[in-house]
Amino acid sequence: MMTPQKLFILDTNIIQYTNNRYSELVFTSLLNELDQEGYSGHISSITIYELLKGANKKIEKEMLLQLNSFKKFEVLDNILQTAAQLETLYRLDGIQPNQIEQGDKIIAATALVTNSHILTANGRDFPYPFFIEEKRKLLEFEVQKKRYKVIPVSFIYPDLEIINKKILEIPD
Amino acid sequence: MAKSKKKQLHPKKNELILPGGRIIKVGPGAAPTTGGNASMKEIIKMMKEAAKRGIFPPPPGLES
Repeated sequence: MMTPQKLFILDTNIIQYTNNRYSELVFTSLLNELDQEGYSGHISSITIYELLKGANKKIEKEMLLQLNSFKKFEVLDNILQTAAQLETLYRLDGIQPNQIEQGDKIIAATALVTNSHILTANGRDFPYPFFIEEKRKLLEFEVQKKRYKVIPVSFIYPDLEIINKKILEIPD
Repeated sequence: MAKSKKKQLHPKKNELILPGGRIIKVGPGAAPTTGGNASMKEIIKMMKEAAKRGIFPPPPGLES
């Protein structure tokens, strides 16, 4: 019997940190660790929109070449419907719609629908109790001589049971 | 009436309720994938190269 594949979605900020000359080393070693644990990384198609907007032609081509090497989850109706429903749940929980960007809600919905984890450098975009932080790592890197930056990176999964319970509580 | 209808929804452990009351089975098959067949190792190698050329917009807090 085949073991079910363990999937995770790279949040857009993880692609940015992994492609940055200061942070690349620590972020690629984290991705290597996940690879060794048997996780397969995907991106959401919304990440392509988030990264390509405002790019010039030359950069655009290079970015696409790299982004096309990832397996991508398409943003379909069921994902958009789930993202809209998440926004309703967040609002009922006191989280204002503008606190979390649309792209993050689509990534959250994609993780929920595909039963994937999310790797993110901003755990607040995937709020408790809807999402559970399984692990957190503090990644430290040098940005200038003797000036360091620490980025908390979270490995998060959607709590399907809680989300379904909260959906049933949405008023008519 | 609508209220009592909603109460009757009983999603299983691997199911999600969508707006309108439709229930879907969650998992990799619930959203089609497109794109490359590169392994994580190949992607990591490619990203290391791209980092040297700085082609992606900088992450939050690292804008020059």
